[in-house]
Amino acid sequence: MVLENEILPYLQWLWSGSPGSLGAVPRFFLISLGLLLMGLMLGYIVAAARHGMLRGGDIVYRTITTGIRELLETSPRRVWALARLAMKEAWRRRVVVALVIFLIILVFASWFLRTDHQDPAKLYISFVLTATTYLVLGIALLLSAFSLPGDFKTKTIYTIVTKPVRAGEIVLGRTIGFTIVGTILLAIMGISSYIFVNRSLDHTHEIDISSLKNVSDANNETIGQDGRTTLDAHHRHEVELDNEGEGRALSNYGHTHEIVKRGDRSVVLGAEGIMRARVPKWGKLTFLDRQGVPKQRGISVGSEWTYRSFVDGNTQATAIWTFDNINASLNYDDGEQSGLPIGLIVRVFRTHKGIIGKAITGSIQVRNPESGLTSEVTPFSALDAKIEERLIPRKLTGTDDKQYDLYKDFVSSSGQLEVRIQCLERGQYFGFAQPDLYLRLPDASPLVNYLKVYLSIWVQMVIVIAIGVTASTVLSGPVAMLFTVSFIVLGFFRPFFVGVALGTEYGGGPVESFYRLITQKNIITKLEESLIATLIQGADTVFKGFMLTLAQVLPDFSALSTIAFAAFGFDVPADQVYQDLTMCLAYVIGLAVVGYFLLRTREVAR
Amino acid sequence: MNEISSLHRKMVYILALVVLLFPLYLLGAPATIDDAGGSLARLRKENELGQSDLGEIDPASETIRMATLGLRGIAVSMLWSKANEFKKKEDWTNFRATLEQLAKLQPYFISFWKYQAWNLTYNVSVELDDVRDRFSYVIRGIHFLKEGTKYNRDNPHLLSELGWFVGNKIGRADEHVEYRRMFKADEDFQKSFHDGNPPPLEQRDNWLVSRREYEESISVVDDKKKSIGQKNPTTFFAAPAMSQINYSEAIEKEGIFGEKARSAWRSASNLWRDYGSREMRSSRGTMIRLNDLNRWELEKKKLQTEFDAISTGIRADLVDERQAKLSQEMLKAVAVPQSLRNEQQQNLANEADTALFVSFDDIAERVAEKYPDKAGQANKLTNRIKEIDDRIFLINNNRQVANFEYWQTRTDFEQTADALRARELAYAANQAFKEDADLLQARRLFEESFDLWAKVFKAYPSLPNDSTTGSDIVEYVDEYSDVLQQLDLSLADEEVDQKFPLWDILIANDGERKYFDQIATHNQRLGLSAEGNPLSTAPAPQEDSTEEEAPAEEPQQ
Repeated sequence: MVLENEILPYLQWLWSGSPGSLGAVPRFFLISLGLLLMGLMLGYIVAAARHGMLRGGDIVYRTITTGIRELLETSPRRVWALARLAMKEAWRRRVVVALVIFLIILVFASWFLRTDHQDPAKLYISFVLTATTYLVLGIALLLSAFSLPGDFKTKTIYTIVTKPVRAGEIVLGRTIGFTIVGTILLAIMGISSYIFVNRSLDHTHEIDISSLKNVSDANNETIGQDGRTTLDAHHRHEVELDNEGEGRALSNYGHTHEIVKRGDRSVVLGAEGIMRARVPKWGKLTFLDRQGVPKQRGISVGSEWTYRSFVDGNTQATAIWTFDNINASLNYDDGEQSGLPIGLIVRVFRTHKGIIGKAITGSIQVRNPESGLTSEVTPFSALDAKIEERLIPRKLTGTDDKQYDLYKDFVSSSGQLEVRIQCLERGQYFGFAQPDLYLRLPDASPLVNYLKVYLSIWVQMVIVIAIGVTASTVLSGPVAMLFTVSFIVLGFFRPFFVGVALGTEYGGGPVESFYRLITQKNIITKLEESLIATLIQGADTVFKGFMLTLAQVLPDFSALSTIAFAAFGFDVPADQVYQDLTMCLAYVIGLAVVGYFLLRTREVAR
Repeated sequence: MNEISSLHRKMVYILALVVLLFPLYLLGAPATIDDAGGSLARLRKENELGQSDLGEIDPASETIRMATLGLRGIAVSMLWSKANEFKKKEDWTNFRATLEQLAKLQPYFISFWKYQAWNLTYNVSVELDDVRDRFSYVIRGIHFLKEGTKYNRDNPHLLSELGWFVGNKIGRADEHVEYRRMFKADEDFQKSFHDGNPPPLEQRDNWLVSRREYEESISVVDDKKKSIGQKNPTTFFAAPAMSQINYSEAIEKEGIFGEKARSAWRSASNLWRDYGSREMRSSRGTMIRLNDLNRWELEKKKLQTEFDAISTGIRADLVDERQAKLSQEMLKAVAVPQSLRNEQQQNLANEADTALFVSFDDIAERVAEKYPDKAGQANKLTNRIKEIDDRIFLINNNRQVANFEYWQTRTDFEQTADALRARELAYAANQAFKEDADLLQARRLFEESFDLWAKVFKAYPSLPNDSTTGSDIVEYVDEYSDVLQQLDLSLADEEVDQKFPLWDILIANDGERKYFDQIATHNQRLGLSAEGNPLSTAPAPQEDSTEEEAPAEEPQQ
């Protein structure tokens, strides 16, 4: 699968972050501090303007101290009571309509989704999960943004604030109440979509009897039959049967089928492996260039997408993955073969056609990074852009022709192992990104993986609810909704937003882009030096500063989404789940505090 | 009073409504099975403006377009951008899925189908390494285009594009050998492409399918009077015949000769003649037929004779008059042979030529002055000749665009026993060389083939040496050279040189100077220079040499 941003180990993400950036906790505290200072300043200015400088300072001080006390005295019982109230309100507001819409989408989805793709599961899973995300975020938005403003409008808020509840409890209670409602909806959607995907993609085939041909061994004795299945669900499979008529339909369209003998005929059973959860263990990728000099990246073949870099064939250029914590417990042994299971994706780039129909050959070697012991090359034919699952044999021959054990001899004392891949054909190239080679741990449960993806959708929903409820403490319903929508939209395009703010995107800042748009200038040509250009760029500097500040609190919804993992058939890493949950908690806490102070500014909630 | 006036007003309204219903009915009544409906329905039918006239109506497409609630433009822009992103990131599954969504949103946008089908067949397919994967994307693009023709069933552009994809992508790609084989063998594709009725195996050739699609696009133009827009009619209408020619070439390359090949070429010849007889609109709007060149040339000759009869001697008089007006410099420049003129003399000679040119209008004008009674006839003849000249010019131009003469000659001679046998022998020679490693047999077969080719070129003198056929022959010569090399021989060897009858063809097609040495040796044997020019016998160098030699002779004396 494509993983453009590396997933850091949870603790590293939490404390130190990736090289050159801050960990999540220091970042959280810095942002909180910034917001606190900004709040204090604004609060003081408003209070001083209304009540004089001394009195203003006193009011700010009392607000802060009361606030801290009240937040610390938050009562779970009262929060729960308010959460139940929010749930009842949501129910009254026909939240169940969302479920009906979701079911209608599922019923008519087959009009728009076709199963004649190479990987239909990827398409179906992407579709249902994306539809769920948008729908749930929509519900979260509507519930949260209109709730408090509605209470203000209908004055029902008085029935609450006259009770001994605190502003923080109102905010938290609503957030939790709506979250519970959203969770129930999400659970129902999850179950229905899981059934939908499985039912839609489940199929079977017949064996095309006319295609069967006997297969003989070296002694000319029939050992089985080869053939193919009938065309169903837009595809067919090659079939291998033994003499008893049992065997397998080989992998096509991302799945296989078992074939069993029932009575006197061979029956193809249901599809296997449509939904998978491969568990990869990724390593660190570095390169050697054609002279054998270590490099961080291989060479570019001119592709616009720079995710992969390439090694040139028949030179010393090599892609090297270094894996940590390698030991014999990772070994796979089924009695016939024993070794370290790997998954490999090779992107082939040819500068000449070569022999048409013949795959490009490459080689795999393992090396002990400590002793330098290197295995003999194992040649392989590159399956372009497809996952090839294979074993690095446990018993290996070294370059000195001696026999070695993979785990004893090639793994360093610190548990490291290097896997080196080269392209063997002159003028041809292999392209790699770090996730293209991984150690294959036993597959996880696809159902659990599906749940993890739903958990990431849940996280996004909770964040939207928290933003919506907080915004609605001071804004009217429609404005709070627009505010939250802006957060969601900007959150989905956060990398682009940050890119514009940092000036790494083409076309300049917002003012410059607008100018280019109305003057029909393309985004590449430089603006001619003039007073207008200077004014535009000056205005953009201000905007960019503002954008960069906003980006600090903007949730990156695209990074929170784990749909790609399920769609590509990979397990969502635990680190990713922990990071998402932590981020969610940080947003809920942070926004509840902000919401509390904002609500306190309303006359009614004091 | 108020109540009564209110009632009256309402009555008037109702009456007006009822009265207005009649014109509304006449205008807007919908068509039914046995009734053509109101004027609007009839106009819609006549001008084929109804959605159903465009092609299939897809409920899914209608639903999704309505569901965008007027934001279709935005949705389409976003999806195009997504498609570009998926293409950039090589996510072909989602790329295709996005294209399908776009197809639902803009099913009647012809450029979309053409652009994205091209993307799949030409751009995505080459991104994949395995030839089977490549073929599967070529086929997906073709399927996509076919889908487009269902929504836009009478669009000649899409149908013609389909012909191009099936013909040229499968038949001309580097992988054409594998693609053509897979195309024929792909039962599932054949079934779905031909709506469940795949043609028999021998008709599954991609060039034949391409020809059918082209014919379909032409029938839409002919029968349904659809426009071909900016497309050049000369190339548009030549397409079925070209596909048939390509089919004939392709089967011969695959080793199919005899009656099947002859019949394929015959069919190509007939199609090419039909194409020549087709009336097409030229770039100036005149309707022309490529076969009519001779007819118009004869007509022009006849009219010219008539014109000469009424203007006897006038052309000569005019030339004399104009010659008398030429300056001395011009006359001197004209007197110098063209090859010896310097730049200034050439310019003067050109000016003189222009001044001496006598047009039909000039003659007609003089006829009118001299014989006023013949002025009308002279003018009429002049106009007619000019019109025919224009037509001849257009026909010639379009014949050049289509390479008309060459293909006509080619489709004729390829049917002959000599050409068929010559190709068969060359194929057999190549097989003997590559499969059986029988060098002597390969050489003998190649030489027999070349002898037959020489006969063909002799029988068809209009066939230019540097045509595609010449290139084909050079390919055979390349293979023949390989055989000779294995036998420690070369085309330059006297024994081989004398037997080889196609030197002219080789010389005309050796643009890369691959056979420069062999050609030079051959030329020298003929007493020519290496480039094939007669050896120079100019006296000047001899004078120089005598001067140089003279002092050398003195000491001897």
